[in-house]
Amino acid sequence: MLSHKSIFITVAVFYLFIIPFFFHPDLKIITFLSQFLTQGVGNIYQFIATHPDQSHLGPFVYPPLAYFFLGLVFPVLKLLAGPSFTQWLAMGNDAVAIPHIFRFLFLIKLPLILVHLTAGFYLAKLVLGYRAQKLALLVWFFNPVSIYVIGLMGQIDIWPVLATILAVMWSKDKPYLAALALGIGAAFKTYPLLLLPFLALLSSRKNFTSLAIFVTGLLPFIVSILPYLTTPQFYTDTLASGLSQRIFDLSLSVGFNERILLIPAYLIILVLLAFHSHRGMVKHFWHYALAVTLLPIAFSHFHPQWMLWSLPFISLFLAQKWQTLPAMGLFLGYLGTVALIPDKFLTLGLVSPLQPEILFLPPLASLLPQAVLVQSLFHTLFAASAVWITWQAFTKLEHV
Amino acid sequence: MSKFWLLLGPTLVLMSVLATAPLVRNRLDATVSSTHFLPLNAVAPSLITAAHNNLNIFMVTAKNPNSVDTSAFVFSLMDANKNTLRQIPFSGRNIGDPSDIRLQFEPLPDSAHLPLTVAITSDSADPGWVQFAVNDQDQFSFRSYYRSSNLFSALPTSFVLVDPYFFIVWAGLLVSLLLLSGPFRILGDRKFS
Repeated sequence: MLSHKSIFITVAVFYLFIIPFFFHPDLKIITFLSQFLTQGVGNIYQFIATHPDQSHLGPFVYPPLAYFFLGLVFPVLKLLAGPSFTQWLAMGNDAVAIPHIFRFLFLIKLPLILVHLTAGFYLAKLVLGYRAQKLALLVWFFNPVSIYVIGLMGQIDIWPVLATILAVMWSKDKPYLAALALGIGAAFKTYPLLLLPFLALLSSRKNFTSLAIFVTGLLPFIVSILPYLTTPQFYTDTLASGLSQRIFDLSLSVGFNERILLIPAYLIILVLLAFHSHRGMVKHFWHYALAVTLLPIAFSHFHPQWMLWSLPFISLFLAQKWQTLPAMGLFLGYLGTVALIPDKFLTLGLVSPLQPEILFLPPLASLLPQAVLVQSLFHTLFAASAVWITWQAFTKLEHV
Repeated sequence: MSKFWLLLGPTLVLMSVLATAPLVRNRLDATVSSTHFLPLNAVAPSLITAAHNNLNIFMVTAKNPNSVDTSAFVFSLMDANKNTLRQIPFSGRNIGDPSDIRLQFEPLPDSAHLPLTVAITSDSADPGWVQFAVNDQDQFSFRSYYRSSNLFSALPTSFVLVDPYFFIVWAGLLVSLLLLSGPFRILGDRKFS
């Protein structure tokens, strides 16, 4: 029987092969901003506001722990990458026709691949049986979202995703540790906080224990942001572009400019369901994690990397109950929606290290007539498949 | 089936290149690397000889802090006798901090081996505000492109030569990983699917 080691090595070969050849500016920008830690900058949000000459690539949009972590990794990257690394980081988003672009891309994505592999390792531990474990690993590593978001783009969302996988793993026996994992994940990117109420409610029937778990999860996040609470730019930079804005878009008008906000309503219903139907039944936690991370994304104008949040739970679902049509609908709908976002760096621009001149072309969306309609059809397919998978996970599955 | 997973990476890269190659019509002709920025009035014109016919784009880099200078600028491409062959006006509003400025014009049909002069002028009241990227001889740095009609010219064939040390280490790492797991075991195991 082939060991998991060989699977992981094959995965490592695959990802390490592709990462030097594809480029997205996001990781370059946050690596550029994180290097200011090595210059003694502790409050990057204020620094960018007071040094407009250093802000030409935009603000730092992640919570502080992401800044500190990337800032600590930066000296190692710089040592391996060579002296022109910092110069490249400061260049514009189309700085791809440069001599060392391939080694730069390899190095800045390498930590993400290691985290991706680690996440797969712990994800497999959540599944019983060799066959199901192997399927979970194959879905996790070789689905279009992982390849696109981690291998091609190099998004740091894999860090909080690892935290949520650990939280599910620890939720049965060590709920406080699970809560801490969510809090630390939220200090990288805030979405794991959405899972915290469900962990608290499902881990215990006692209100005090639930409250203690909830507070335990909040602590690392609050401690990490405490020094920045008096910095106005911290709020504008980290909250303006996130899910916290998008979830208010989907609504039903009730007249007089008043609206029922559907995604918050859905989250409230989930809380009520957890409270009244599944209180103390922690085996349901990953179902709620799936429901909380997938549907709000599927029913929003999402950023491509947000899909990664629900991917561990989709992998768990498919590993235990493989369904070809919903999986195809979900991934095809996702890819079609993302491909028609009017941003050239999400599609053709990804291959710019090999084809720098591709950046002359406009986004795919502007080359296609009726692009918005086609995109809406793909998004609808994505959303419908997401509803189906969430519903199936809640109603048809044995529990992890 | 296991071969599929191992070949997926090379296939993905190759397909990405092949799929996008026909879309890329403008190919790199020459690059003059930048070493620093200088105000426009301190920059010397660049003297170049194009390698290909149908020269049609110049990319120059400039910085206009806070987009303060909104003056008119003019890019000129001249022959050896200082006859203007192509001229493109652009505004300071289009200059970021820094940003690449794309200057595209009707292709020059017989540009190959033609001595050319690249110059930029401005009516700016503060000619020191906007700074342009220049080389170590204080001439404009730029990338120039030509319009290609040959699809195969868009295939990147020499990218390994750009950074050979990296690719040696990278290939060594991949081969070591495969040897670590035993390539024959991976390829031969039916269970690995």
